[in-house]
Amino acid sequence: MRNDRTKSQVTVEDLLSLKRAERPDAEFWHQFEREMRVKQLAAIVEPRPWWAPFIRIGSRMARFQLPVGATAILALTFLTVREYRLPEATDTQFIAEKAVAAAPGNMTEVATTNVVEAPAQETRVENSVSKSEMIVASNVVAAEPTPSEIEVQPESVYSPADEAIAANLAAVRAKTPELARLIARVSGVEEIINPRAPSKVVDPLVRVKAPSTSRTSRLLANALPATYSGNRETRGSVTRVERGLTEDRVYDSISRIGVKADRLAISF
Amino acid sequence: MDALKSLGKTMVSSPERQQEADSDWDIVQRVQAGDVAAFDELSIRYRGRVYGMIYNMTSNREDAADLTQDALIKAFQSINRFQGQSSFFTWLYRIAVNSTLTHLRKNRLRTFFSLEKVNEDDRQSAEVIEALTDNTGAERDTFVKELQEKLNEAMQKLSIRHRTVVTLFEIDGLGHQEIAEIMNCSVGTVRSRLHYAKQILQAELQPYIRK
Repeated sequence: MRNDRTKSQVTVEDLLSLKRAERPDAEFWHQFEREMRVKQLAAIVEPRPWWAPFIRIGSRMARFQLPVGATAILALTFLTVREYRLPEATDTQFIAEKAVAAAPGNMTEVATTNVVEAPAQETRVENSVSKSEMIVASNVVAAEPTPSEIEVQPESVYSPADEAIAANLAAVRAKTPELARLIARVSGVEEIINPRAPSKVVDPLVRVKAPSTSRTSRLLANALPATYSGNRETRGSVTRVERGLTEDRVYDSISRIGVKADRLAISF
Repeated sequence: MDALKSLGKTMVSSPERQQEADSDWDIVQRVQAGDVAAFDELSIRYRGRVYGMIYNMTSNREDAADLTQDALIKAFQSINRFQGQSSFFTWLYRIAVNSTLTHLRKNRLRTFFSLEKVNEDDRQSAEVIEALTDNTGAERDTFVKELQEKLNEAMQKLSIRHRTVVTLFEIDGLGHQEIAEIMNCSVGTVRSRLHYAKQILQAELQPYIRK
């Protein structure tokens, strides 16, 4: 068809055939040959990297990229979900076991008392249950894993970190009670170390004093400036009043005889 | 591998190609036996065709030269793994096409033209030029150069896939089936890409097309 082309007919195919005629000259091939020789020698001398076979295997496995990648992601997800709980439980148990091994006497006593309480808490879970009891109870469960106690453990509302901290504190307490007491005093978690019976629930509003009480105290303090009061409310007001006195007045109050413009005062 | 085998069968279909493939296989066996110098024969035999294909895809003679050398070096390094399931030319051609596609994808934004001179001794190209211009001498040379630049610009406006199909079909003269096997796609896709690419080229080269 192309041979039948008249002089006036030029198609895209004809134009593209011009590109076949774009050929390099002989000098280009001489240069090409020289460069090729250098590269060929370099390829012979240069040792192949040790990872070259792996690249070849990888390129052969390229067609399985998608299924292999998807399987790997699924497997990783499955393992992550499966192993998520296990290390925490094992750690807590391990620490608790260490603590029990260190102090068998004290912990066993606490354990028995709290474990006895555990079934009662099992039936009715209340928010008013103190944190210390729950933590110690969970430690005891970890220390003595009888079937009935193991059932109690999942109901714990505390995180594994809380339980681990409690177990650590118990271990410290077992080894060095003095240090444990000091830590508890400093950090304010004495109740966790020394669990008590649950305190009586008090309405927070009862603890707040009425505003009229403090106001009365302030007024009384102004009225009685020379009187020292042990009351915390009035103490501040007394101090403020005392600071308000001038030095002359204080000096005058010390002297028994006072002379003023038109008067003479003698104090007895 | 199956695609390569079928490609080898298609490309070695004619008796001349079969003879050429047999000759290549003898040389390859010599190289595999340790006669490194024998590879030069293969290199000299195919470097022009490989270079032409890469040059038409890149429109840059320096890049084409480097890629041709790289393809030949790769073939030289891997020749021990060549088992003759396809013709040597097919195998080399696949290496060259893959190297070129990788190069073009890496340097998609960097395009420099560095063109070869059109050889007017070629009968078909001489006819086309004659149909387009009556000028002679310097004016004719200027016209040919301008046409060459426009042609390369139009080729570069095609996507890599479309350019590859046009190069393999229109310039290298491969069949649809061969291109489909090289590019790992269906024959229908090759035809579709070829049709689309020709439409774009026709629009770009409209001033030079005469019907």
